[in-house]
Amino acid sequence: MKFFKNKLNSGDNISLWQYLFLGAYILFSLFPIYWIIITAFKNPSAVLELPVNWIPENPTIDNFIYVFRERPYLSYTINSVVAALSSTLLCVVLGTPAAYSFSRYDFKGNKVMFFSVLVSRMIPPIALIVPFYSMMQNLGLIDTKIALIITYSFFNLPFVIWVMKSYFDEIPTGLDEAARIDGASKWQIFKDVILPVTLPGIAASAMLAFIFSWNEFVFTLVLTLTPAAKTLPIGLMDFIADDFIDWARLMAGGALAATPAIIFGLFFQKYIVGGLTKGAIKE
Amino acid sequence: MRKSTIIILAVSLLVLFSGAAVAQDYADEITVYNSGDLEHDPATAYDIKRFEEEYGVKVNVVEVPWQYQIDKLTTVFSSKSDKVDAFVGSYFMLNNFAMPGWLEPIGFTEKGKEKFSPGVIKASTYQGTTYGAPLMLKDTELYYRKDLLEAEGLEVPKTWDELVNVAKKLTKDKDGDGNIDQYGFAYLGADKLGFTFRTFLYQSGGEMFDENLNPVFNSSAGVKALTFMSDLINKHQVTPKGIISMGEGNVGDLFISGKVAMVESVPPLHERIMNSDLSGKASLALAPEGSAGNTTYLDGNVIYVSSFSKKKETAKAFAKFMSSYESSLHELVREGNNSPNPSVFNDPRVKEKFPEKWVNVMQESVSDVKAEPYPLYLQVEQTLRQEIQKALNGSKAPQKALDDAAAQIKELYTNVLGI
Amino acid sequence: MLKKIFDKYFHYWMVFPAILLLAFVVIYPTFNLFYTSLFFKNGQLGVTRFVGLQNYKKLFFDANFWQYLGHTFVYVGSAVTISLILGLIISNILNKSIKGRSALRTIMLLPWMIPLVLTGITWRWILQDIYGAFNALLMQLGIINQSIAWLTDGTTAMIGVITADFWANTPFVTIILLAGMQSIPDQLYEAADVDGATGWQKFYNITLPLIKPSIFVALVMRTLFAIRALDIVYALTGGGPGESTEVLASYIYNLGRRWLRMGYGSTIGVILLLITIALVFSFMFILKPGSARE
Repeated sequence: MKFFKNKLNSGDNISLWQYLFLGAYILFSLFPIYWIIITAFKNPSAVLELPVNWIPENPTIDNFIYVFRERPYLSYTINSVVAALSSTLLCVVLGTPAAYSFSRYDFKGNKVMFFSVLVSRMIPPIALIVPFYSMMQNLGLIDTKIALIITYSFFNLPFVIWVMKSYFDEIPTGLDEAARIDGASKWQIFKDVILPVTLPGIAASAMLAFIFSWNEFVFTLVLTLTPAAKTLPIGLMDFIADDFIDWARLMAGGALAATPAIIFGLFFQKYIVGGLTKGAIKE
Repeated sequence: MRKSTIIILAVSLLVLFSGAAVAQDYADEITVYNSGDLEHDPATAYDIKRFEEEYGVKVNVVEVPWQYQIDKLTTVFSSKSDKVDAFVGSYFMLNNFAMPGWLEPIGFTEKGKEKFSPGVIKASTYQGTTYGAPLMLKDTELYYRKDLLEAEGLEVPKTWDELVNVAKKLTKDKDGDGNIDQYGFAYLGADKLGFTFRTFLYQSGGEMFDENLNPVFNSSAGVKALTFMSDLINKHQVTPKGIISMGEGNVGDLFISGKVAMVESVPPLHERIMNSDLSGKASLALAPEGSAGNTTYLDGNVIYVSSFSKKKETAKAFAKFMSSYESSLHELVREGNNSPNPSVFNDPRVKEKFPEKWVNVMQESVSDVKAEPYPLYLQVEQTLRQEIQKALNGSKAPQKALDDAAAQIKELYTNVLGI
Repeated sequence: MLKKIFDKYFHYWMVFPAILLLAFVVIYPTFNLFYTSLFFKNGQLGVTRFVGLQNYKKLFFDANFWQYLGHTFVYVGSAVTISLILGLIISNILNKSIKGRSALRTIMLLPWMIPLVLTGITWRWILQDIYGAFNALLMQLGIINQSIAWLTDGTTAMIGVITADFWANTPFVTIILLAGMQSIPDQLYEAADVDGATGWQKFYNITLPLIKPSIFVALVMRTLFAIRALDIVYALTGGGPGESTEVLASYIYNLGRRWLRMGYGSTIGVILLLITIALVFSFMFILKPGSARE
């Protein structure tokens, strides 16, 4: 399947000001990232040297080695991957059928349930921290990855349902009809006819859910205690002490924390674009 | 009774008691929340290990990011959880945790308390009971660049006025491009503004609250303190404006990067200086005196024991162990944290590590520290910080800012505490 | 038989697992939120007392609430608007044939992948007076000759927070809008070319109306995230200087988690929920996202 049209789309070549604008935007985007990366390669004692060295003088990879050797970074990474992936999987597995049903069947309670799902996404999560904590404590789930998986699913499931529903909305119902005439059961129609067509949409919402889980901070902070469940963004706080911030290692840790997300992003990039296209536009 | 009988009796009593102490049943393990990563607290880590070996108790340390420490602990305690047996917290957290009954008295004897600096015990005592076992303290000292002062032929400032004069001479545009490359002086800003204000407040003879918890920091002493802080930035222009939003770490970065010649900061900076290029170029003096002396605000850490703990005795033993002479000494020589116990500075191991002049300054400085425990600390501190920032960036006059802060705090106490 | 029942209630079987999980996670905390908002509940004092709607009444006289509400509107309004406009321009450019388009799209995505906490801390450092990288850059380029203390003035601090926010979130908007643009049939543009339409006319008359549903998705999601944004504000300014970057989300956090005034904190949580719902509905009303279909 081809998601990008590689020929001219809106029909124009790019004007000079557009090039300039794009260039300026890219510089703006990259400046902080460049700063993170050069700091990560600097010697901790050279970080604060002034005037600023835009190119590290004696680049070193010690900060990265330190982060893995001296800190439980490997556990943080594993926790992050396990929690974000499981919750993404859960959201997609539960959310896709629900979205299909909301889209295709006009049953009693359809509108109310769909509306409730959307509203649950609008509750400011900050206001739910305390009850969330006591709930997890009563379930004995504090400092476990399960608590994180449940929490991330709470954030992402409504979103997946929303995006997927608008995606199903736009697939012609003729497909379902044809299969029904051929005698397929409802389940078979969903599984064998509709699902394959929606794979890009699934990939896209999965990707977004993954990134949101990957970067979640406030709830994870409250629900985790030890390296048994702490994730990468929480692990970054290890480098920030009251009396000083260990800049070089913080930035090395930060660069590492972003890497898996970037790899996922690169891999799924084309699906994100291709998939959301269909979801967002109702033709 | 014969003398020897007394001795024998005394010795056997002693043996009996110490035997009892050793034989006491300690729990197999306790859980301790540390403020921040133990990686940054090598002395604490070392002393915890010693405790584990001597008492046969396993200590599970949970590292909580320091900015979120109070938030996290209050979540745990407000659910009355027994998951925390003890925690490393700041002096200023005392009231917040003692008032709802979350803390267990440490059980110091009078003699046990005597070894600490009196300001320290006062800051660890809530309504007559001592709840905190002092681990270390952060008093305010003047860190200065010996090389820069000598080059100008300047004396180390001893009073506020001298501080301004010296700072003016050290504030320089070295390459003549119209941008100041070196500032004379800096103090701790952002989240530490309340601390800095209190140091200047005490030094000009003011207090935060009277006995009935009425805010009195908007007195003439308070206004003098805040005006001084503001003048350093806005009138004398010897302090960079940016410190309004720079905390302890950032201001330390300024000093280490050579952008300021003098800074009033707290002891962990010793260690940073000694590990940096400034080692040998920087030195230490008492904070310059205001009109009422050079008392400085007391910050730092104590060990608190949870009243929900099921292993209180073990946790108390741990707290006492961590505030012992030996542990304080390690905090000082391994981490550069000042000792709440002034006699530690006489130890030869301290003199081996720090220049003698530093040791004298540190010892003198820690014996004149002050903190007033008061309720709803966090909210009061935020109000104070907000109003001070407004005075410093020129959006309010110092008197007005302090009056507003006092009125808000008064209202808070009336509404929430009913006083 | 079983199969028949399954087929008959198929739509329910499909929906229930998701609804059950959400119900499990959402109902108790949400109920708790509304319930607690009716109490004077202070964890510091260990007091819980039913006060009915007193907290809501108190809200009207709480100067902080109104001030932070204003900041929230400024913050959400600017951050969302700027990232939408930037996203529109960038996605429109990236939708055209441009050399290295794939690489550019990847670069454009990067800021979104950085954990928000790190974004906040990094921007804080960059914007710092004296040793911040931004001042260093401006001075080396000769644009300014005195370093500027960005975070010490209320207005520039708010600009800093908003900048960090749209820096981090514009990629998300761009990618959603780009997706929308990809699905516009080329014939429409070709027909416009025949009529001799300019690039701007084509953008205004064809692209913009057709990507309305995408704009809606981007707008709603950005608003949802900006309204609750805490990570960036906390790491960058801590709400200061003064209270100039304090927003409702940080107020709720402070009340509930730091000062343990749970009752009042929940009340503001309820209000923020109502504001969010009102905003989303007004977007729905104004944009009518389904209308691209007609």
